Amino acid sequence: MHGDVDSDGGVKHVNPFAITKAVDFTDLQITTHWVDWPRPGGFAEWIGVNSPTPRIIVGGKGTGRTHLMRHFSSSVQAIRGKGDSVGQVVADGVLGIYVLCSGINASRFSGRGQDSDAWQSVFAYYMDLWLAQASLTAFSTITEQHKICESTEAAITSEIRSLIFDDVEESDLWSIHRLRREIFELQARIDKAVNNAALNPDTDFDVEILANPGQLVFGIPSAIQNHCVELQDVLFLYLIDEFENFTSAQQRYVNSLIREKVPGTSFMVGVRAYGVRTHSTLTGEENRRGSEFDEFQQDRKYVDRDQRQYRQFCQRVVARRLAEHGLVDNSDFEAFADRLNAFFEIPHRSFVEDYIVQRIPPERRPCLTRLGEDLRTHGRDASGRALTHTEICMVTDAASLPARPLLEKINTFILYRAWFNGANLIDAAHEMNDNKITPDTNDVVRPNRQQQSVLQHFSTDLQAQLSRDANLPIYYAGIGEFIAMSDGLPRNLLVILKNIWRWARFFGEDPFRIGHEIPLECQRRGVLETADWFFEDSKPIGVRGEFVQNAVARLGEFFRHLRFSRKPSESSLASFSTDLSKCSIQAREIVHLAERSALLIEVDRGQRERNSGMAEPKFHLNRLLSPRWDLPVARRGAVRLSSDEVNAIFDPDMANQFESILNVRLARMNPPFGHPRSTKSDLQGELELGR
Amino acid sequence: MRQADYFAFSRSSVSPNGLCTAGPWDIYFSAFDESERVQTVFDCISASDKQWLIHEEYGFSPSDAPAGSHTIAASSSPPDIQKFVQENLDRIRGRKLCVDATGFVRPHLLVLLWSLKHSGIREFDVLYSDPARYIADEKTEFTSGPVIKVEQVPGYEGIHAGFSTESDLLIIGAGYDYEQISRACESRRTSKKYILTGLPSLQPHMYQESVLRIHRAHEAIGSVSNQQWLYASANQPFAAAQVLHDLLAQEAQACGHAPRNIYLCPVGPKPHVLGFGVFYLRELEGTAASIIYPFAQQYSRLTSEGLLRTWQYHVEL
Repeated sequence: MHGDVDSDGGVKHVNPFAITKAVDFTDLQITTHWVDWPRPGGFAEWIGVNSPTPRIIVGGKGTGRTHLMRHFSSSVQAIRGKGDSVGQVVADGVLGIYVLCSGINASRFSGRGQDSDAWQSVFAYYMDLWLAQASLTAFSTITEQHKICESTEAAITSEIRSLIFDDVEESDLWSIHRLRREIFELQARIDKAVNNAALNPDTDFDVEILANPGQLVFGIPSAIQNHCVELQDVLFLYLIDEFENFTSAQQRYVNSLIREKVPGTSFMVGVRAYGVRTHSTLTGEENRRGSEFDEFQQDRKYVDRDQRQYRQFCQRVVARRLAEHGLVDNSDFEAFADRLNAFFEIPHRSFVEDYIVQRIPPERRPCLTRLGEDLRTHGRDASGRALTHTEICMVTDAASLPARPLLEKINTFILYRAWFNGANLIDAAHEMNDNKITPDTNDVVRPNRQQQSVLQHFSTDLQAQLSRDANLPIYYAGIGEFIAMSDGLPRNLLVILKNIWRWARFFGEDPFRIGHEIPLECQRRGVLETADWFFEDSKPIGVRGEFVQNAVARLGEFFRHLRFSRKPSESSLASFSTDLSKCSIQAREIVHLAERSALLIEVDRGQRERNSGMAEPKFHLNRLLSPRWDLPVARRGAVRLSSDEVNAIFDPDMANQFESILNVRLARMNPPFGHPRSTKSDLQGELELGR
Repeated sequence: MRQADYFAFSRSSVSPNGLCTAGPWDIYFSAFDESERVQTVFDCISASDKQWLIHEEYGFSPSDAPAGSHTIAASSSPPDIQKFVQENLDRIRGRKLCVDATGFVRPHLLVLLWSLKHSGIREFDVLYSDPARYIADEKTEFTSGPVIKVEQVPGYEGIHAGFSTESDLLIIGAGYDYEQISRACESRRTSKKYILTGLPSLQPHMYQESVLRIHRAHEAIGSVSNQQWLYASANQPFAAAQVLHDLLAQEAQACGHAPRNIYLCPVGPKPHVLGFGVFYLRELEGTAASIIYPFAQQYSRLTSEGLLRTWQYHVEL
């Protein structure tokens, strides 16, 4: 795409992250860009590629599923074999037969004047012909350099042809190529009939089915193994990718193949989370996890149990890219993986405070000005009398700490919390003055115990509020943050880095060169552009996709308002829990669709509800979306949403209630704080802070 | 692949003032929408038998539809426009036919071309009118609502081969709708992609506007070199057809064989849609080539302002 290559004084700059999808790689690039899982046995072991039990690999867009499956495909095995393809296949223990479901154009196999039973038969036969060609191609690929003798080839083709035709003579010397051609002709006949039915649904639908379901799928590997000694112990693994392109009825056929599989053959199915429509078979039986198949939730495994390895893996992927572009030493890229932060400007801890001290005089600090306005508008003493000007000044002066804007912000938080609890603000201000710590010998003002406690829990959120006060953007910086933001989807990390590179080049920087740090602003823009792209790209297709997107936007707004309220109740908030059974059906559907589209991530083991003790499902906003609403990347606190709140956020028919629902929630976080907190369960996650 | 010279095909233009002198034709069809460039042309054109077609996807109520109009249902199974052609064959055969493509929903225009060809009507005129501007410039929405599916267009379904995708091609005739471009690219993830844009554009500023929109689909498009960006004048269908012809010839030469599977996706200017259709029907029928389309539930019925000029294309299938 334009913008990934530019020249500067005769020097060509190429974006090392221009390619973010495995589909854009050639088979050779699949091999050269391969980074294995950082554990013994690598990915092969991790997903159990040799296991005879079929696997369903579920994951969002960008998990690396296609790269993984293609790595084990025959065409890549042939490259990895470096002249000994058969040896590579034997070493891998599998012959990978890779197919993409999109290639079948499966939506044609419905309607068109035919009933569902007819389509079921035609589709099954068509799929078998497709897989037959794929398996023959895979076999041809690996035997290209290791020619098999004519008699062996003829014996194989004869055995396969007898599955389809009655008049097979043993003396026929058919090559694999000729057989493949013949099977393609059978497929083409079906294509013509199916295509013709689109425009002429009333004419006869003439498809002759020559083989029973599964006969070719299992018969071809069997025929090959019967005549090729080297492949007798090799598992013929059908790698069926993009399974979400099949309807429920079509998936049932593949499920039947999985259920009826024979020794020597297995399946690995790659599918997006929203794309698993059924585990039923054509006979109505249900394939079960742990029995007929194993399910492998790739992105969840990355971020739940294997976080450390995921981080390492991502670092190596990045280092590998940089090495291939000559930006780091290719022979040592794995060692360099731990030093990637050297390429990024990382803001120091007191960045925002220093900025405020230099630019905003003490009497114009926004948080104190706001506190004063709140006190003027809503401040009352115990008798209900409005606070006097002197009293207001006394309170704001107590909070003031010119040299430490962050501690000043914390002081306002403590005062707001006291206000929420119904305490006397004048007394609270006096106590604040009594607890003030004088600067040390280096003139540094350190936090007192109360401030330290708040800092431990709300540091990130109050820093974010300070940034807003100073009209500074929220910065997201450094490789660790970007890996966290990828949230189990390595492709998202590559897109972040790709966009950062572009912004850096746009601003005249020399990104990813040793000794050059990419400025914060370039990182921020790259991350924000990626967040916007992800928000659009993850939208499910169709009308419900719009509902999901609008709902996630409302959720993001909800979290943003809570984060930037006067008294946020949860730290690093971007998660919620709820009892979904009490929410509307539409709300539940939209939540689940958002989760299957990776816009929401369901947290394993959920959240225990305080009163009942029951575990409720818990979700967090995909971390990559955080920049859209100035939210944190870390996930700590969670808010428990009532069913009304969930409905207002997720149910499109109740979205008009969102503003009022939000205001009810915010009333507890902004002056005059409504009534004091009445139900603990509504504020799950709030921390006891030494009142 | 045989030689082709689509520039031999006839094209001419007429100003709004000259519309009444164009043609005349015996029978004239136009797809009704709310734009001046569609309604003015219908009123001015000289034809003894004129009829409005109403696309269901525009969401017109019965009271909005002009008298004598015929509604074309959205469903493509079977395509309603094909039924319309078959029912009106006697009316069309042997007469000078003109179709105004300006207001047509793109896949229906393609099916119309197929239906006419396979009914023996292989020569006719097609009109297209340039707008002064799009109503919201680069923010103009041409689909109203999301894309609901990406499927082959009836009549343009190929016989596809293989599953090694390294030599598959997807050629997108790109316009303003980045969601359609994204969905099309996602449906053919592994294909090598070419993007055909209208340059020169209908109006000078429209090229920049389309580039801004196409950029929003850049992740879905993926990594494409400069050589994978193609250009053809936005109001020249035959230039688009020629570009497609030359591209496939070049790809065949580079690989030593024809591309394994070819997918075309015309979501750009209507003249390019016409060009894609003409090219397919003349050269790709019965091969491993399909036209795919990202269908939306509804389309915007007013997207432009003004009428600059009207192009007349003589189509031969």
